[in-house]
Amino acid sequence: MKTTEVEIVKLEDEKEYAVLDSLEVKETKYLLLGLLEEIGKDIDTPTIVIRKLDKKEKYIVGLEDEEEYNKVFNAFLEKEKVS
Amino acid sequence: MKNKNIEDLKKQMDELSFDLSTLNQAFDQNIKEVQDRFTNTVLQKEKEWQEVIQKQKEKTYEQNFEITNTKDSETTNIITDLNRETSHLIQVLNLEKRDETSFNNTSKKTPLLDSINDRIKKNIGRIKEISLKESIKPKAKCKKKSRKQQIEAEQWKKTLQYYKCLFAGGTLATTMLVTPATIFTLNHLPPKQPIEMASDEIKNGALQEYKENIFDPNTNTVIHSHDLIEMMYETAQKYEDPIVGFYLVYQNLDDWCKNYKIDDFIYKYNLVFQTNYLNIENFLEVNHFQDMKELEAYVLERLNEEELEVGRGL
Repeated sequence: MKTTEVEIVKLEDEKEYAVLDSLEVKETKYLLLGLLEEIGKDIDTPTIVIRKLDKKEKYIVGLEDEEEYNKVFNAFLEKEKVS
Repeated sequence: MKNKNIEDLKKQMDELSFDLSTLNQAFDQNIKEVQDRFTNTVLQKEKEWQEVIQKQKEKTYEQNFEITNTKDSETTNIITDLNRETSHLIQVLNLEKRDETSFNNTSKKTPLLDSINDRIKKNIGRIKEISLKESIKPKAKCKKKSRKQQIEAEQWKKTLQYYKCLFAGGTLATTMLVTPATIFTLNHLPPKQPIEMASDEIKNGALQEYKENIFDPNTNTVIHSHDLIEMMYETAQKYEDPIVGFYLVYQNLDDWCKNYKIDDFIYKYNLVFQTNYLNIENFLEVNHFQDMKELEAYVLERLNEEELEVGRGL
């Protein structure tokens, strides 16, 4: 069976998330995460989380506000369009 | 004396007999002539009648042939009229269907798009709500500890595809507020009418929001730029024929962004215009074009027609 190696991270809620995608906006790296337990399951409202890494990429931190969220959300969308 | 009289009488009788014989012969001859003449006459008449009948038959046949041909022609006209009427009805039905179709009532033609659209329309609000809530946590901070996990490739691919559809579709649905634009008719002459769009206010607002962040894959930065959907709107407003619009936007893809995947173009196009094309080949097939050259020729012809109409002040 052919497999793919997927990066898994654990957030502050102690739940594991699969890294669906990542991108860099203005020197900040953002992660698009999907709840691991939902991967491969037929779920109507899957949990899609966007987080970012601090400058040293040692910590995963939450976004500041809705404006930042929308900006990154659209950036991920655009990346999907050109990938 | 008596004997002489008898002899005279005999002689007269002989003469009379001769005369009678001659008369009989003459009569027979006459009868034969009459019979011959009658026979000839009958035969002649019969022949004449046969000719007349033949001519009449030929004439009737010709008339029938003409009638048949006329019928064929009439039938063709009727069929043409019926086809035209049917085509018109299909267009009317499509337009009615289009009017009934909205973001909340997406046209359903393919199971995949159907399923995705259903999910998007039902759950996008909730998905974004959860996503927003889980993402915006200014105080959330945890050390990055990652591990690798093997996931079945096919399953992972499907998962990414599904997330991508939800992600892209959800964003489009919430930012563009797409209203039904058009349903392509199955012939080369789509209804000659302006394509319906979202109101300018909604569209401009949505575009502004949409244009704020455009990702540039070459520099990994977010830039301001034209976007595909704006091009679709602009082209559709400029050209009434959606096939022309489709072609012009498609043609622009190569120059504008060579990295664009055509599948994505089709996906976005279907979302904006509520069509269900699977790919370019499907677009050509549905619209009865054999290849891109034929489509190009059609578009050039339509563009020339539009120029002429503009020139005439139409």
